[in-house]
Amino acid sequence: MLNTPVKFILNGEKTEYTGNPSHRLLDVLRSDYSLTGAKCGCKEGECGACSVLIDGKLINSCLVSMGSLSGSSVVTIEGYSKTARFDTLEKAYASVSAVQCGFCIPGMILASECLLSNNPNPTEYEIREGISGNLCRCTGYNAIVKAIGIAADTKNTAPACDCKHNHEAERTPLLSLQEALELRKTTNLIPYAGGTDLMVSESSLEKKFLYIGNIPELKQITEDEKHIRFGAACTFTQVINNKLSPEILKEACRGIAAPAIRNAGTIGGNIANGSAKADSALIFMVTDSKLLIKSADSERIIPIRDFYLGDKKLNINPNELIVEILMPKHGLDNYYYKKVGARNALSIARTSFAGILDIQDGIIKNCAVAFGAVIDTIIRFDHIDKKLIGKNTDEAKALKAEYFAMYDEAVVPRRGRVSVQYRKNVCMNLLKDFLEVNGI
Amino acid sequence: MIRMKNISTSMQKIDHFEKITGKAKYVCDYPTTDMLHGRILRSSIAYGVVNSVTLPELPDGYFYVDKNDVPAVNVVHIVQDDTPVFTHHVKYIGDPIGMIVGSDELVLNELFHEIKVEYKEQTPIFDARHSGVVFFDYNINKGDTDAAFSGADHIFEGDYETGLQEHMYLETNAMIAEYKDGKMYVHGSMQCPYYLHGAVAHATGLAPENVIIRQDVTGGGFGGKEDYPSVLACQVAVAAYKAKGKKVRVVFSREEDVIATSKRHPSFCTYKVALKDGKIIGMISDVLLDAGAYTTMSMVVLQRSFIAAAGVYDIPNLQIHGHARQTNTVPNGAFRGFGGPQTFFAIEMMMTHISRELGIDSADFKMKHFAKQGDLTSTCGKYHFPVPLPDMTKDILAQSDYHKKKEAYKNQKGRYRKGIGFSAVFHGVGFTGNGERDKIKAVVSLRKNTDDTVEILTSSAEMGQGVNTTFTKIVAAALEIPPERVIINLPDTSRVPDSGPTVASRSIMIVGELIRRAAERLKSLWKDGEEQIITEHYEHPDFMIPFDSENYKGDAYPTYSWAVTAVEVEIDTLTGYIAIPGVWASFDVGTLIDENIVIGQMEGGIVQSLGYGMMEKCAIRNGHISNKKLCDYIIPTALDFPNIKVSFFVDKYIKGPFGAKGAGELPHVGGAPAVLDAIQNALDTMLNKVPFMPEDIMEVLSC
Repeated sequence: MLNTPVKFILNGEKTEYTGNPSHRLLDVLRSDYSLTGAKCGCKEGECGACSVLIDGKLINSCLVSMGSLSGSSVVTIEGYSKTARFDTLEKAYASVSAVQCGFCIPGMILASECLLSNNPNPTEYEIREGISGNLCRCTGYNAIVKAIGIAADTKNTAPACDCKHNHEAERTPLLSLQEALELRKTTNLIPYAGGTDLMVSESSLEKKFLYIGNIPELKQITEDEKHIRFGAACTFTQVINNKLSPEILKEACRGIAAPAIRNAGTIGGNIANGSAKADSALIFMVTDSKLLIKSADSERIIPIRDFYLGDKKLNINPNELIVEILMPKHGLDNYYYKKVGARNALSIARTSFAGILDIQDGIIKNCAVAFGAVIDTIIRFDHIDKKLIGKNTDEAKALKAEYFAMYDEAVVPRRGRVSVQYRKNVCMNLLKDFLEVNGI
Repeated sequence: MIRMKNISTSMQKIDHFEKITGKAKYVCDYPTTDMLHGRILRSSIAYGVVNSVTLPELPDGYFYVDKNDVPAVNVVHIVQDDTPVFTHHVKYIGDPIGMIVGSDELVLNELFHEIKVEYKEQTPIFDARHSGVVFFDYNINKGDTDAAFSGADHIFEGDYETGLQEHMYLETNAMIAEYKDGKMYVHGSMQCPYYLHGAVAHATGLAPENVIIRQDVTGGGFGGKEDYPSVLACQVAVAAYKAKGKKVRVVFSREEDVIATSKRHPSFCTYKVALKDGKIIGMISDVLLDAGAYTTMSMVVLQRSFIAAAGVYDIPNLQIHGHARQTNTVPNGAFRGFGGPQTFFAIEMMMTHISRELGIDSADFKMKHFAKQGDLTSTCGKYHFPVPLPDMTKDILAQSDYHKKKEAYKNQKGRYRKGIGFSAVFHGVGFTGNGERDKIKAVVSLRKNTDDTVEILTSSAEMGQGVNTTFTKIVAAALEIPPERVIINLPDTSRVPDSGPTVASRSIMIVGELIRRAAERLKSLWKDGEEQIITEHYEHPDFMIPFDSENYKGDAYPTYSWAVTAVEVEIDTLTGYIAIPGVWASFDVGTLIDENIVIGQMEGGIVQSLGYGMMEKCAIRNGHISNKKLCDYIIPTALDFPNIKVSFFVDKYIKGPFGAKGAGELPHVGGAPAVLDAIQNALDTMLNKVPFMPEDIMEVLSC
């Protein structure tokens, strides 16, 4: 099940790729198609110089495995630069001399296009947000931001870039969930949804993937009486844009990396890679969400907390897939969330904190706290939080010292990109602030 | 296009369209069919001798080169001759041992991982303060410091440290070489084609006319492609020499670029300052730079650095000791500002610390000591031209509402604490001392073609800073012809004279003035329809006080560009996070040859400088750099420093084209001290190191 040949549309033309499906789109564009406008600055989705549009969305082509492209429409700078919308951006960039060394610019232009096609009248902040995954070392970004603003102010009636309308790609029939689960049973293919983590590894070329990013059952966001049900292959962008998503989850997803990563990365992947720095997983932990895990022959629902067994071990069998994340519908409005990163975008959590305090009629119905990027898994100590549940604010205040003392003992950070002491200080500071802003 | 009325009015950059459409060809964009790939074997230890290199069996057409394959001399000529092309006596983690070469990149990588190297390790030195190997040692003496200190009523002392900084240009280093018909052709990403030319000729033993260096479109340099490309050029040339007519290409991965290429020198400065009646009367300073494993650019970086140790201040009695010492770490080299950011950080912080002790505002204290026209520089040269700092300072303090904010930010107690800081700096333009006259001896030509187009022939490299556009404007304006009739290509040493390297903020002021003069001459000799060639040679400004490079006396620079910066911060005391609500900066770079281009240089430089101050930490331990990736070595994104306001104060320079001075490096000098001053203000303390990170903030807060 390697999905070759891969039929897709490249700059409006049908094409077929018959090479190794694990190869990166960036390398294939540059070598097989001689399209060198997409540049390689890092091969880890960090610089954005390799940005392309896939089905109209900004994507880092270094993190796309060819096999995942079946039925997609890919637009590179070479294709986009033939459009009327490009002309508007090109002139705007020229008017403020926004191009210096130029290495980031093809990617920057496609990020500009993606931003403006979704939001024709962006604020300055939204412009900066839109290009926040495209590193530029020359300009300091001001001229680029100005150029995008000028382009937005230019009346532009050309339709958003979509070379797909010319040809509907012959889509390799999509896998159903059941078929994918059968493959999990019989092969040792690695599940691949967004690729944003898998493709960072140098050894990705030798891996064989099971492409689950397009399985319809994994792409839905629905609700039942008690839960919001997120398909595991929903991207962060999908979650942010869905009205069923609670604000706490949206805020955490908005803080993930940058647009191109959010367009590709999935919440299921964020959980399944087992990282303690996973921003959306922290929210699923603090909300005591559950995972629906299926194999071809069975299914089970487990609290997400039981999914992480410590030391990077996960509670999942080789024949299973995470299908849905079930998040409680109620009691999430009063939340506290803080991700401490090294910069305002493209940042990996140095420490993160999420808290929920559900107070009804003066009584604490629920108190939940989770810390990310402190040890090797996200941590959540509900036995400590239980101290405050069922209490009123005054009673909680009286228990505060004890509550902190228990956390002070329980939170034992490991050294990572930052020191143990720093992590500890930040955790305790945020925990205190969480209670203080709630009058405790 | 109509003729230019005002040289400062921006025109579309001439490389804009090819870059924005993705058509511009960087060295990594050349088709690789018929090309061999090279991968460099690097030392995994910091200091020692390679006992053996065991290669796997190499398929046909694959080969290995090392020090024994260097045709002439195993030396990369930079300033001195201690950098080897390849070595078996390794001095840092990443030192090149050899290169494996072959046609298939994937096969090559597999073979590469099978190579086994055995070493005999020696004891490395990682701390420059404990290094016994002094590469360079210089002294400045001005006035009588003994008398000043014995007559002082206050003496202040301070220690200051700055860290490594990585250039992190978006395009990694890359080079292609081909040896054909007795000639060596090398092209790639670079700032200084003639540096490569000299180095490749020296290492291969080929006659200068048989070495041809061509610059490809270059994806950023910032000094990082000043000396380093000479190393890589020699390495690919050695491989090409053996490859018998095949091209050899090396394109660095990001990690290799971080491990192997130069960085900004870490520094350790100590200051002792004598005051009498509230005025500084003497200063003794020690400036130590960590050179890394080889001398590369350290001599000239140190010179610029220690000459600037007294900052923009008029200090009558001065003693400055500068030394650069060897460590077993990656060689440190050129980086925008070139030693200036280190000592300007130190002196600017020292000034704030003295004023804090005296209980007066630091901006006022600094203003009281600004040098002015006619004053002596640290090397007893002269500030020949007006020093516009007082006006620029008044402007920036007003723009930023500095005094009011500084007062308001005293004694803050809440979660978020604000602070405002200020710095005043210069950048001496062109090579230090007699460098332009004795070493560089720039030559430029203009060639008028029979169709009356005019081609600019210089070795200046366009790397994003816009030199091809500004040169075009200078020549078009001087000749009074439309810019469309001016031709400029990326330099090729077989076609252009040596107008020097693209460094030291010299391109406009030195090379630009030469092409302006050439254009003036061409205009007076102009003959329609005829081919004409005009050549100009560097002339040392006659007003300069001769520079004695033994005793560091005389004019180190003909003139200076000036910058005043105010930065505001807001610190989250729960996390140590530093937000930057505002930056206000004023620059005097003389006439702006192109407004957009200069603004772009200033904004980009400020952002790098703020990164240097509070974000960019190169985590090096025992010679090993652990943050080799863009996700770990943090550079600013579009969301980090949004509010930067740049303004200009134009003091025209008589010897610069249309009054222009140097611009490129200046904005990287003043940002770090201003942001640290702001953090000090917010935390009500004294700080003495960059980068200053959230972890450091939390440490201060928990004290």
